[in-house]
Amino acid sequence: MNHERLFKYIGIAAIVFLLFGITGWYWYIKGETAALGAADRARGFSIGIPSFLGSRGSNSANSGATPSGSATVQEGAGGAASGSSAFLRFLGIGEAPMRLPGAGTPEESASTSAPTRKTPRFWRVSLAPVAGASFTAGSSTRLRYIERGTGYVFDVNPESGEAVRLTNTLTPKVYEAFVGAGDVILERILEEGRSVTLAGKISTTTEDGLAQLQNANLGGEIGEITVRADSEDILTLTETAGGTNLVRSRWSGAGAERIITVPAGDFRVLWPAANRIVLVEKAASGIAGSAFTATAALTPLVTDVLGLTILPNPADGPILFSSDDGARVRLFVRAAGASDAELPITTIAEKCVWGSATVAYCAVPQQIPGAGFLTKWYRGEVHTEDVWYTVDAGAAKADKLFTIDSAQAIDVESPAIDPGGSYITFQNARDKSLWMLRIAE
Amino acid sequence: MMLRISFSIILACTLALPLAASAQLTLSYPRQLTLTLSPENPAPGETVRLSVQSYTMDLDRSTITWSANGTPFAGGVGLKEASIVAGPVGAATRLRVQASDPDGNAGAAEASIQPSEMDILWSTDSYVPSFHHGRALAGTNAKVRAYAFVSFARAGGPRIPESDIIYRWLRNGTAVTSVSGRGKSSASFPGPAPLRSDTITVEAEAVDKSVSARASATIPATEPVLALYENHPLFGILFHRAIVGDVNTDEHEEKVTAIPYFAHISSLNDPTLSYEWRVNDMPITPDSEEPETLTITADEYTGPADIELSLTNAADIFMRSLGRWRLVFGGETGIFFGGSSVFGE
Repeated sequence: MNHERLFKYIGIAAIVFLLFGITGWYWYIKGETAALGAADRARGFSIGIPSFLGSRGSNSANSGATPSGSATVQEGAGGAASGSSAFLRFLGIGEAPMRLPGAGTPEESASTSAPTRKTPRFWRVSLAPVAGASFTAGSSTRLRYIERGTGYVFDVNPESGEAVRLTNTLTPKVYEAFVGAGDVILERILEEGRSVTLAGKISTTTEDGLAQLQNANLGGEIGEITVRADSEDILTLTETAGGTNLVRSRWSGAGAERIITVPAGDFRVLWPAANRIVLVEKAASGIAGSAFTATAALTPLVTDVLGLTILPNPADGPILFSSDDGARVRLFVRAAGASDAELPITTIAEKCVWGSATVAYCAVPQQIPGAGFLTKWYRGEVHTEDVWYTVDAGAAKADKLFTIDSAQAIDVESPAIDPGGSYITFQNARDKSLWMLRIAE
Repeated sequence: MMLRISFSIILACTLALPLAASAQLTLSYPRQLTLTLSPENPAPGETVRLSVQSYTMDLDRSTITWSANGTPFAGGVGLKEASIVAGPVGAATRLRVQASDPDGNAGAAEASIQPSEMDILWSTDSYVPSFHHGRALAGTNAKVRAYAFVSFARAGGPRIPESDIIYRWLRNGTAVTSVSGRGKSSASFPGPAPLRSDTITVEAEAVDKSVSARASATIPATEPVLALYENHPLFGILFHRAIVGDVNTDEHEEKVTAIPYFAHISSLNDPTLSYEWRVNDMPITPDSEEPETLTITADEYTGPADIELSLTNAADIFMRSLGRWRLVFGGETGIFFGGSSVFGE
């Protein structure tokens, strides 16, 4: 009798365990299906939002997707499929090498070592959202960028349009990224609502042509960060009870040296020259702001300007600054020993980049931005359609440089120029795609 | 003898005449002149406008000479105004203006320029998301922290340290003695009341009174702004593209995240916050872990999803933000900013 009861209990327990197992398996499969579905959607199979059309979930297929076509994409030096990246390929991430839309016939671009075609004057480097980009300092000009969806690092030859994926370290949802000298890459992500900064160097050893990004976690205390393409050092702003600390350190956070602590203020940090750091109060329409050169003390650069944004000059020449008083936007040039001169274009200094000591290039909205432009622009609530102008700061003149096709509707942000002064790269604030403009026709 | 004495008296009187005349001029010299500087406490390199006035001389007919540190830099008949560029911090400039009219009257006035720099930098504890490049404005119940940047130097000397400067802070014209005093270069204040602006002023003076300056900052109260963003599975929250107006989507499911800019909170899931989501007038219970995020699953549904969010803060009775957006599932164009202007308005 007891044995019979025992067997009965064991049987019931086995059935219960089986049911739990089946239920658990069901939920596991359901979860995986949802994840795969999300990945599929992320790859753009059914996304109708323009910024992601063709993005295929942020992969290298987006690189060099030029309007007129001229580029090729490679994966590392080898460009061949590998076992380690098979899973990513399955997700549609980092697929390479592959032909680009409108990239010409395979024969024309099969030889990547000797590209025979030049890029168009104006072309889209990456359709996929990009977290950051910069020209690298060195003997040959390269545009290095980091994908937002994957954190992968790419190098692009601005002349040929050839793009090479360098890394295989997956870091999803990179909101900001920076390129330093010596293959230094900084990637900033969100973890539980807080920003976390990952600093790394591209490994010198590769597997199937792809290198790892050996990241060090710099923590979540950093508010603002900036780098220079010719330095492995970084500048950070951190908030403490005592105020804002401006700190210079190696890319890994080692050798941190506090430059100054400002007891109050809401700052961004700019690094226009190796020996010059600028702190500028974050801007809002109609709110007065100031900018300072920062050493152990602050030295005013521009003070008490409504909606101030500023573009210091790397060559220690004149500076560009703009105001947004809440109703209108104005751009000025300030040269030593001279009165401020208003430029005949309506844009903000953040849309400009210096080409030489006295020549700058500015993206100018075709329509005058409406009231409260700057505050809304920072929140992503308004966008502009820009045209490129050349600014002669010495003569306070501006001439049209390049008109972007209205179908592109590009709202320029984060412009940068190559060391030779031939190319300007920038992101479209509407979708974070990456673009390049050759200055000379 | 009488003649000699008379001649002597006449001669003495004749010789004394110029002395008497001279004594008369000395008695009327100098005439009152008033020298005015604008601004009184210029920044280095700033142009200072100078003007001279007099109620006892006709300056329009007078020859006026302006000099700085003993060197004339402007002059002429009736030249009652001039300008000069202030030197660097610590480089004092002694100004002197002299005037003489055709009647022989003369006057002079002096002043000194002691260039200094002063500005108020401020920040608030209002919420803005990470990576936001705009200013965190003073929302309801915000606290403001201000720092008086001052660059003072005595003539030819080094900068005067903050510890040798006396700061007097004022909020809306009323002195705040608790945060004022020697070396008190920073101070905290409650933020402006709703719909109002606060003017924070600071007056700074070197302990030896050799130099002083004053600066003000206007800090307006700002209503917290609710912005809604797509929360993309691969790219995260698309902060660069707020949902404005009617937005079409071809997706069957959309995940969106609301960001309360300038709210007085520490994080988006601050326990004092209450998110009340409604979709097509149906209340939605927010996720306890991510109450700021809403996932709408349309399945086979096509048409509008009117999203409404009411956000209140138990710790801030003034905060009540309301946001309304419309997602159109199965929209024809699939254009994110469908129906909106170029500025999304």
